[in-house]
Amino acid sequence: MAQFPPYNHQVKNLSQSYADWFRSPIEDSGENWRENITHGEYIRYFYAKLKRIIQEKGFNINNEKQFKSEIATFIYQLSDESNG
Amino acid sequence: MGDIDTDPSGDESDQIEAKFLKDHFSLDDYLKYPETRCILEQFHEWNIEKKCELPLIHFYTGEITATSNCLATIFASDRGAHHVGTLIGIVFNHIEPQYDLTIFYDYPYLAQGLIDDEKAIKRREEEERLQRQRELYLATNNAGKKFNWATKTYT
Repeated sequence: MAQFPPYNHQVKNLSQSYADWFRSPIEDSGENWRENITHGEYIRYFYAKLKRIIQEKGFNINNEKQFKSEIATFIYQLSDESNG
Repeated sequence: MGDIDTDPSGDESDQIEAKFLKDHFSLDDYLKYPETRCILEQFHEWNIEKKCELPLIHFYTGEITATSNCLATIFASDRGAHHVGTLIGIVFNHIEPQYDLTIFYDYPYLAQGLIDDEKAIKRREEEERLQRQRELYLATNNAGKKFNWATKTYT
């Protein structure tokens, strides 16, 4: 199958390592959007939702490990670091 | 009465060709032939776009709205959901291909190149077989001699 072309993906570099960022809690303005969850927990939630959308439409995912990794990298690159 | 086409020969010939395709070609054959492979891939891409693109956009923009409203650290660099295309690209590249041959059975002319190619291969195989037989004959002692029916010998 033909690969889809990469899109413009210019994002800033994070000083926090991926592992540290993964374990750190999501910070927000205190609106209780998702209380006390870490970035890693959010990635798991996001991935599960994507997987459900795909499966509900009758498709399957190939190379799930690689897919998870790309989704996690995508979210990491578009997110900010926690301060504390 | 209007100009209703009552000649079923077109449909019948399509059905015959569809049956020929079903009997003679497997999915692998379609994937090995460039034209039919391209059609299958385009049809698959169109299918996943039609079914998955909108739900993915809705999901992602919903997440962006939720995270933006509370200024969360997650997706802080994409408050406008400009990277939705990147996400869709990642997802589409990881969807297992589902190739549907029905399109060739409904429109056999789309596989005409594959049929012609198959006929050409058969013709070439037959020519090669005849050539091998000629070579085997030329290697025998009787090669080039005429058979004399009166004496039942080669002269």
